Amino acid sequence: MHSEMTETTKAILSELAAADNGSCKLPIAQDLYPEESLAVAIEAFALYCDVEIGGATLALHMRAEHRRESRKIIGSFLSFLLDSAAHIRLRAEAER
Amino acid sequence: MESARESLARPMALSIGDSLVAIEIDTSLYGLDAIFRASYRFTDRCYIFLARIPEAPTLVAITLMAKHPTADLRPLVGEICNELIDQQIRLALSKEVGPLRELIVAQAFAEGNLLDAQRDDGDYEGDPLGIGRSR
Repeated sequence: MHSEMTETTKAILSELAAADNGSCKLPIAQDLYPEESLAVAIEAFALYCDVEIGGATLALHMRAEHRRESRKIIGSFLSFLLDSAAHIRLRAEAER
Repeated sequence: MESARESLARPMALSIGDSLVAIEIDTSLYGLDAIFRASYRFTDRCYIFLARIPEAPTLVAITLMAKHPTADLRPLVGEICNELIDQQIRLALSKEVGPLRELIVAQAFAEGNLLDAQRDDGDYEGDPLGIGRSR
């Protein structure tokens, strides 16, 4: 671990700190979050937010009616995504 | 928005306020499986996001976001670091003793002896192990 934090980490913190504003842009890595995990998370949260994936970036935009609870929704989306990715990893491990 | 500050007590962590903390993990020390398992253990206490760091490809950032904006997540930094060690050791042990564990489970459900098929098949007249033979 490093005492000097990278610019990417600082940018992630800034984005999440502003999550209450209703949108958030985060870097997404394929080896951490495979396409399948993203697809299920996007589908599960389709009622609450729009998601754009451009290259290695994931952008979440809250729907107007849910903007007041955007921190909770963005956080839940990220937890759901982690959960899906972890399950995909476990499944791949079991198949090996 | 508060500016990011590096904690002097935990130089590996960077926080914005108390409710948003990030740590950077070197994947040459902790595998991705250990990082996922450790992160998953904390999903009941905070929201977690993992990210690769393009400018340092061996690093993964774990960002913890509090479920409640006034919560203090900084004590979790030490806990998640300990959990990473725990998970990495579990995985190493599992790799080391995994085949033995699989054999024990398979033997428990098998009818015959998996290591020595003849051992349970013989009778005392055949004496396959030579128990009755004089030495």
